[in-house]
Amino acid sequence: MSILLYCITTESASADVGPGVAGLPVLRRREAGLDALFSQNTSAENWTGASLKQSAREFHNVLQRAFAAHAIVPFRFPTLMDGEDELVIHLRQNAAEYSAQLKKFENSVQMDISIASLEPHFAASHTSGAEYLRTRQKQADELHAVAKQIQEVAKETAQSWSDRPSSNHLKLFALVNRSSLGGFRERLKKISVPPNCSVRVSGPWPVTEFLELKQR
Amino acid sequence: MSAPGTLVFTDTNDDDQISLVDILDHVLNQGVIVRGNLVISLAGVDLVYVGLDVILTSIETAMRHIAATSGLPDKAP
Repeated sequence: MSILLYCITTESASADVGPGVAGLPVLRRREAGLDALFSQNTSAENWTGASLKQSAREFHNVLQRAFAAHAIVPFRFPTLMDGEDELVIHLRQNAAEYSAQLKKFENSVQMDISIASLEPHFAASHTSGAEYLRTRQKQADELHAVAKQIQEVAKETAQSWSDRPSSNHLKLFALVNRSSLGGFRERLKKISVPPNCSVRVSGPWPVTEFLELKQR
Repeated sequence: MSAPGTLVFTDTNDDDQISLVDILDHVLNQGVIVRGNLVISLAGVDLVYVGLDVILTSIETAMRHIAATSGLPDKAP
């Protein structure tokens, strides 16, 4: 019997999380003071039957319901195991680490902030590689200036920050207490977004960027 | 001409607001990776090798990689 893992939470968190991927029931395995949420199927290839879009959304829905009131440590999709025996071994081996992270982030959520430049990287007017590089550097500087502004405006409502640069955008992650979420959003509304720049704030997400786990 | 700057908020608890890109970024790129191996088969034929750190690849590519790193013959089953 193949199982698909969703997340790990605490034994006290027993909210109804609804149906899982492919409409299968979400089951709980209690072990070492932890609850692992999973679905089971007769064979691993059954998890790949539906479209990725549909499966990802169903997976996300389970995580969001489990995360609505309690901290979770989510697994990536698709994390598959051969059966509950393998899951039990995994939980026993990693219980201390999972418990510590769930405790550490029990009242926290993650907010994702994507800061992007709306200007193309390369315009027809660029005449040289040096000019192209200068344009890229200018765009990167602008994105970092917006990130700095966001961190300054929301510093009293965020516990920690992390960032991840990409080709034409900068991803900023904020660790926020659940009770400060409204204040965090309100403060971000005060930022001044420069022309040709977009800022997209999404959340609350389960904490992932700030986890300190061997497997992450 | 410059486009005006935009600031958009998306609530992950509202299905109508959250984009598929955000969902895929989170469920595929974020979260715990469990190390392990699994071969997905259909009708007795190995189709996909799933490294449980979420590497999806064809079994042929995986076997080539294994052969290259272990000195085994470069031949998929």
